[in-house]
Amino acid sequence: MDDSPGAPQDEPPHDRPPHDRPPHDEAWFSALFDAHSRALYSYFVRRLPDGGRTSDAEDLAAEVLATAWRRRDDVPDGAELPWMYRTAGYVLANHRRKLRALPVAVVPDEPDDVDPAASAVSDDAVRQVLARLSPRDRRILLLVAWDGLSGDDLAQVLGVSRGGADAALSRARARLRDAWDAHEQVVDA
Amino acid sequence: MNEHERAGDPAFDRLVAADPARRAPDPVQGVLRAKVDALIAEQAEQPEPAGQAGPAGQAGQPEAGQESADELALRRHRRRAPWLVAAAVAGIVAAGGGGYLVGESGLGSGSSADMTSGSSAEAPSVMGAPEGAPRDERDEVEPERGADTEDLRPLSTGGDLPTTTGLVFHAGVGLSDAPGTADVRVAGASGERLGSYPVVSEVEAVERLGDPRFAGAVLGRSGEAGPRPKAGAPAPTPGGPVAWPVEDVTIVSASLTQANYPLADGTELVVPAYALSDAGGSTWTVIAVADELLDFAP
Repeated sequence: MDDSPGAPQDEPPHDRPPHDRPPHDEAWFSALFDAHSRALYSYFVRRLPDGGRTSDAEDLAAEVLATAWRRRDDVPDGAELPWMYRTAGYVLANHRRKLRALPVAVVPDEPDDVDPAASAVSDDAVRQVLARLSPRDRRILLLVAWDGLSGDDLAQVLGVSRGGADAALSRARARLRDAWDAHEQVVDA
Repeated sequence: MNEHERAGDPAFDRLVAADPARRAPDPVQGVLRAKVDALIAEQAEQPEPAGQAGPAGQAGQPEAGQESADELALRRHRRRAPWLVAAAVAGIVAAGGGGYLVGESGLGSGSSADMTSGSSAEAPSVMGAPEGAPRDERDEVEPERGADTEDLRPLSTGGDLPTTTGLVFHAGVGLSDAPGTADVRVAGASGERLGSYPVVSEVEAVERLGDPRFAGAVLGRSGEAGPRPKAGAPAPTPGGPVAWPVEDVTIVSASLTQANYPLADGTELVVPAYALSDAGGSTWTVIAVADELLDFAP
């Protein structure tokens, strides 16, 4: 996880916030909660098996929000939700790591936060097509298709430039179309 | 809905329409907030885990200061239903090492058909160990007791290394290197079929026996005994080599079968698995689903 402090070490940490930045205090956090808790909750509902038994989705959303409070100085103004989606990706990956004692020596760079085989997608064809995609393509497509991200926000979540995000999305969409074609050929055959 | 939802891409539109959260109920805001507050209070009460927070603990809380702010959260969560705290905490802590691939369908005759990966204490090198080892091979299976063996002894400190013979697997010439497909479904009478999944070839399945990602989940030797190291191996001599027997196993036949695979959420899948046998009749079983549809996320 990215723990970079983002603040110069030689400045007194307690004294003052940057000038143009609203204080990240309790009121800020309450506003953050009101604005984004629903979206975060939905993020987990979409990605947990069986639609995220309500309590799991709540617990994980709460974990992200508590992380946002704990690291409130790192949360960028104007991009709070992308920051939390990014955190959510790691929280979900951790959650799944805890649940599954897979003997795995490989730690993927890309947090694979969607398990198509176990996801709550009721459309079986969609699930199969998702399973044909790489974890990164899945992640990008679902952030856009389900969570409604676009443009700069998507770039923020992926931690890449805007141009890079647009290109990645474009490629992912192309591969999605290919996967559909392949799927339909299999079904037709 | 968003700028990417444009016409002319039915694949994407169908993906959008499949959003599972469209039908999901809204969270109960009060409950969610209480869980957040409980977690924050927990953070305030406990020292930060190393390497997790970075300098956040001391980072500037401009007006209130973190202590007082978190104290607020503490008070608020005390005021709210305390049982929620327990529930939330339990939800986070509950981890459970998911056991998996507990064997069935004749995979391990009388063996402890347990493919749970070795956890910390056990060295991972028990991979492919003969779990259902034959009774008459006591020098092989019971040396931990130190009863009647000379050649293999447990270490007296720092934990015991497994004393099983290391196995090196080779694919026999008769095995196929053609991948295939097989069904994955949910276990049970009304088992939902998840589809036809790619499976590795027989040769790749043998390679999995020696692959640490899979070897911990291999159902061990069942059936007849394979060749054993000779009994009554010489006692260790000063300056002499340490006995570390390694057995070469050549897999001569592979058959695609099925194994139960319980997922963390309680769902049990029936997955394709290879039963791999050597010439002596010993059989090992390993999951057959190809890498691309195995989610290796930890």
